[in-house]
Amino acid sequence: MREGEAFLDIRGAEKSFAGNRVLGGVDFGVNRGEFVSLLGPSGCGKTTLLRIVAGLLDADRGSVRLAGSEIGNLPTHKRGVGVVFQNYALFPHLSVADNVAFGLRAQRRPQADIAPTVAKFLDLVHLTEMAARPVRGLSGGQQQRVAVARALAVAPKLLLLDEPFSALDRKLRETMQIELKRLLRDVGITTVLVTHDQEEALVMSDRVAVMSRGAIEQFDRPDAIYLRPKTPFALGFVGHSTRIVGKAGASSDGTLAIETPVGRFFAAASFMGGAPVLLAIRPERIRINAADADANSLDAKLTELVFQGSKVHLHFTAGDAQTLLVEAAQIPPNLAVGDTARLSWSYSDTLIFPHDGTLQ
Amino acid sequence: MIAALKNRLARMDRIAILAVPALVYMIAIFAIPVAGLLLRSFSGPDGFTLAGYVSFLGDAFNWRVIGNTLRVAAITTLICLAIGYPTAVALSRARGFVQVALLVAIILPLSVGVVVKAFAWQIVLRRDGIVANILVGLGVWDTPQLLLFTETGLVVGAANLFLPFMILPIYSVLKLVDPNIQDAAATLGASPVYRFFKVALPLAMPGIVSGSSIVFSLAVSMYVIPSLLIGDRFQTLATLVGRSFLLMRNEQLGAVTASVLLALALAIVAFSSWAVRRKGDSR
Amino acid sequence: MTIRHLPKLSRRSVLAGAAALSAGSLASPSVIRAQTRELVVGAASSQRSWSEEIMIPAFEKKYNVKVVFEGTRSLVNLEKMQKNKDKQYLSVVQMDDPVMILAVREGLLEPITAAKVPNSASLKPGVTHMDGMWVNYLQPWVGIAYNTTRMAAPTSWAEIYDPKYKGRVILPSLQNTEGVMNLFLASFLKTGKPMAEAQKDMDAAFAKLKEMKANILMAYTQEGQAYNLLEQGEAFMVAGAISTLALARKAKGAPIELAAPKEGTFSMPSGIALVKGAPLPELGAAYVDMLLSPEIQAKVTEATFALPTNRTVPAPAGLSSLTVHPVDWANVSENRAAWVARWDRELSL
Repeated sequence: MREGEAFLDIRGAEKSFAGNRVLGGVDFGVNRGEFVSLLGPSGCGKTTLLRIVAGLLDADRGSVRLAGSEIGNLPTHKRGVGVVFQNYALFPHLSVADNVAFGLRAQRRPQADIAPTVAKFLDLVHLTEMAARPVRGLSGGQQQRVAVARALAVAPKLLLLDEPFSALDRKLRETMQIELKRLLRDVGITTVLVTHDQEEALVMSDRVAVMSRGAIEQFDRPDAIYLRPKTPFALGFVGHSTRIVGKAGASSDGTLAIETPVGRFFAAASFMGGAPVLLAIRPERIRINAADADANSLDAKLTELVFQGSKVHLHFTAGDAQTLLVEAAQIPPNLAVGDTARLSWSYSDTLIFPHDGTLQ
Repeated sequence: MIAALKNRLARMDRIAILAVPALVYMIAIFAIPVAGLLLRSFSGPDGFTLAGYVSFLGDAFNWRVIGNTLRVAAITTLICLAIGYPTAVALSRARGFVQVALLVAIILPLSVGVVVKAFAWQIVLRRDGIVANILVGLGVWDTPQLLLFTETGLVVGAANLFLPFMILPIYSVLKLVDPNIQDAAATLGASPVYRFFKVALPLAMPGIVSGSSIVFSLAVSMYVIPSLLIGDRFQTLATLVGRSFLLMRNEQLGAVTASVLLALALAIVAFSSWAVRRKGDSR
Repeated sequence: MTIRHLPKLSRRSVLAGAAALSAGSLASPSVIRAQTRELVVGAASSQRSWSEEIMIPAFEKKYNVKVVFEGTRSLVNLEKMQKNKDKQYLSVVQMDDPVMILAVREGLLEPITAAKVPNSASLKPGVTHMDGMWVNYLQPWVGIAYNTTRMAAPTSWAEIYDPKYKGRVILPSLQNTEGVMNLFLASFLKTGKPMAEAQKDMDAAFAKLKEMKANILMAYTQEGQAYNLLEQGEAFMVAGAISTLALARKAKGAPIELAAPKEGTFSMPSGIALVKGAPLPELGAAYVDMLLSPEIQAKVTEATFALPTNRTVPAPAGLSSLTVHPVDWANVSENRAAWVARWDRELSL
C-alpha cells in the first residue's frame, strides 16, 4: 500500500449519465475493518459510488484501489467486493444453503471446504434450520440474513450494503441493525453502507460520509457530524435544527456578533463583517427559562407542542416569522401554548455557516 | 378439520366454475374429435383392430417420414431457441421506446399469413435471392446453391414463422427476474460463463421449456409450410395425414397417422418438460 | 348435401300441392320461382366465370329457362346425386372424368345419344366415354410452360430430362390430376410403347422420372406457387402445365409461354353428363347440346385456352396438329394411391 493510502481508496471518481453529472470527482477512503456509511438523499450519487466500487458501473474518470491495488479496471467477479442488495437479489431457484454456497462453488473453492463454510455462516446468521428451504418462502429478515451470509461466505475484502434495511419494518430494522453491526464487527470485515436514513448511519457507522449532488459534504465520526456539521446540507440532513439568517457583525477574540431580525447573537467564529451567515442551533441545546449567563437568548411564543414519548418537541415563534424548535425531556411545567418564554443557548452551541441566500 | 376441508373444496368449486366455459369449448371442439380420431384409428371392418398401426409401423417409409418430422421439428426448435433466447434477453433489458419497437417487431409478423411469409421466403431463398447473393459475396459459396425446396430452406422458414412463440414465453419469464440477481452472482465471484449456466439459464428455464414445447408442437404438426417451402417431395406425418384424408380418402390411414403424430408430439414434449424439471429439482 | 334440402323440399311441395302449407312461408317464394322453369347444373366453381358469361346467357335466352349454376367440386356433385337418387334435382353435371367413372358405376348417369344431343355426333374421337355416359366438352391441354427470358421453346417432353436444367423444372404433385400425366409421358419416353400401353408401365415411368431427380426444383400442389417461381425465373419450366392456367397468366403479361411438345399431350378431365331420373330431361340434353355446338365451343375455348372437342371447330393457331392422347381414367383411379406411395419412396428428397 502506498504511503497514506486507505484500504479502500477512491480518488477523483467521476460519473455522468447522458450528460448529467452524478459524481463530480469524489475522493473517499475507508480504513481496514472500518464501518463507513454513505449518507444522502436519493440521487446524491451514493449508489453510483457503490456500484463503481463493486464494478457494476465504470467510472468515467478516477481510480479505485482496494488493499493497495487498482481494481477499477477489473470485472466485478474478480474484485473480491461483496454486496448485499437492497432487495437482497437471492437466487430464487436455489435453497438457502445453495445460495450461501453459490459464491464458493463459483470460485471453485475446495469441495471439502464448502459444506463447513456454509454451515458456519448459516449458524452465524441463525439460519441453520432453514438450510434446505427454498428462499422464496422466507420472511424479509430471513432473506436479509441469507444475503449477508451469502456475501460473507466467500470472505470478500470489502462488503457493500445497499440500503439493506429499507425493505424491513421499523421494529425489525432496529433489531437487525444492531445484530448486523455486531456480526460484521465479529467477522472484522471492512464495510460500506449506503443509506438515506440518518439514524441508521449514525447508529451503525464508525464514520459517516454525507453526500449531496455528487460530492461528499462531510466525512466524519457520527457525533462530529451531528454536533459540528460543516455545511448547511450536513446540518439539515442529519438531525433537526433551528436556523436564523443574519449578517456577520463585529468580531473579537474569536467571538463573532451576528445581527438578525430577532436580535444579536454571539458565536465562536470569525467572519468578515457584513457577510450573510446562517446561524443554527440543535433543538436539545436550547433551554427554556433558564438563568444562563454568557448565553444567547430571545423571547418567543410557544405555538405548538408535540409529544413524542421519550421527548417533547416545542415549536416557538419569535418576531414576525422566525420559528424555533426546542427538544425537552418532558413538558416544562407552567408553560402552555400561547405563553411566551425565554429561550437560551450557549455561544459554543451556536453553529455558524456562510449563507448563500437560500435555505435548504 | 373435516369442516375446514369441506370449506376449501367448496371454495375450489366456485373458482373451478370459471374454467367451465373453456372446458366445455375444448371438449366440444378438441377432446371429442380427437377421441373420434383415436377410435377411428382402431376400428376396422370387424370392429377393434390394430391392423392400421401394424401396417403403418411395418412400412419402413413411414419410419423415414417419422424421422423427417421429428428431425425438422427438433432443428426448428433449436434454431428458434438459439435466436429467440438472446432476443428475449435483449427484449427484457430494453426500456421505453426500444422495448415497444422490439415487441411490435416480434408480434406484428404474426398477423401476416403463413402463405404470404412462405412466398416471401421463396423470394429470399431463390438462387438469385438475397441469401444466395450474400453467401456468394462472402465467398462461402462459389456459385449460388439451391436453398429453396430443401430441408434447410424448410427449417429456416419454419424457424422464422415460429420464432415469436419462442421469444414471448422466455421474455415473459425473464421480465419477472430481478436484474440485480446477475449482479449479485458477479459480486460473489461468478464468471460470465458460470453466471449464464448457473443463474441466467435456470431462471429462464420455465420460459425455455414452454417456448420449446410450443415451437416443437407447431413444427411437428405444420402442414401448409412444408407444402409451400419444400413441396411434395418431402413428407412429414402432417402432410401424410392431410393426403390420407383429402386425396386418398383413407380415413383409417389418416387416423392412424394422426394418432402416431399426436402420441409422438405429446411424448416428446412431456418427457422433455419432465426431464428439465427433474434436473431443476436435483440441483 | 344438406344445403339442398330447402329447394328440394319446396319442389316436392309444389308437386304435392297442399303439402306446401306445411312448409309455410319458406315455400312460397319457391312456388313463384318454380313457375319459370329452372334447370340445375352441378359443376365446379372454376367453371363459373365462362359458364355465366357465355353459356348460361345464351341458353336462357334461347329456351326461356332459368339456369341455376351450382359450382362446387366433382366429388360434391357425386355426393349430391347419391343422396338424391330417388328424386334428383340436378339435371346436368360437369365433373372430372375419374369421378364420372364412379357415377357410372352407381348408375347415376343417363347416356348421351345423338338423338338427344345431335352435336355429340360431331365430337372428336376419344372424347366420348363408356358408350356416351359422359363426353368431354373441352380439352384443357397439358404442355410445358417455360420462362421465355430463360430458354427457347422446348419441343419435346424429353427436354425436361436434360441435365442442363438442374433444379429448374417444376412438376405437379401426383396429388394433382395433371401430375399423373408425367408418369405416362415418362413411360412413353422410356419404352416407346404406344401411349395407351405406356400408361400401364409404371416401372418404366418411375425409372425414367428418377433420371431427372436432380432437375426437379419442386413438386407443387398449389399451382399459384409454381407459376410464381416460373415467372420469377427461379424455375425454367413447369412440366405438366394446364393451358387454362398457363395461357391465362401469359395473357396477363407474364413472361411465359406454353409449348405443345411433339409427342402430343393429354387433356385435363372436363366431362359433362346427363343425370338419370333428372327433372327437365329434354332441357338438360339441350344444355349439353348447346355446350357442344360449334358457336359456343368457339367462344368457350377462346376464353379458357382449351381445345374444342367438336371436330368442326378449328383448333387455336399452331395447335391443329397437336395430338391429345386419351387418359385411361379407370386405370388412374385404381392405381393413383399406389403411384403416390411409389413417388414418395423413389422421388422424394
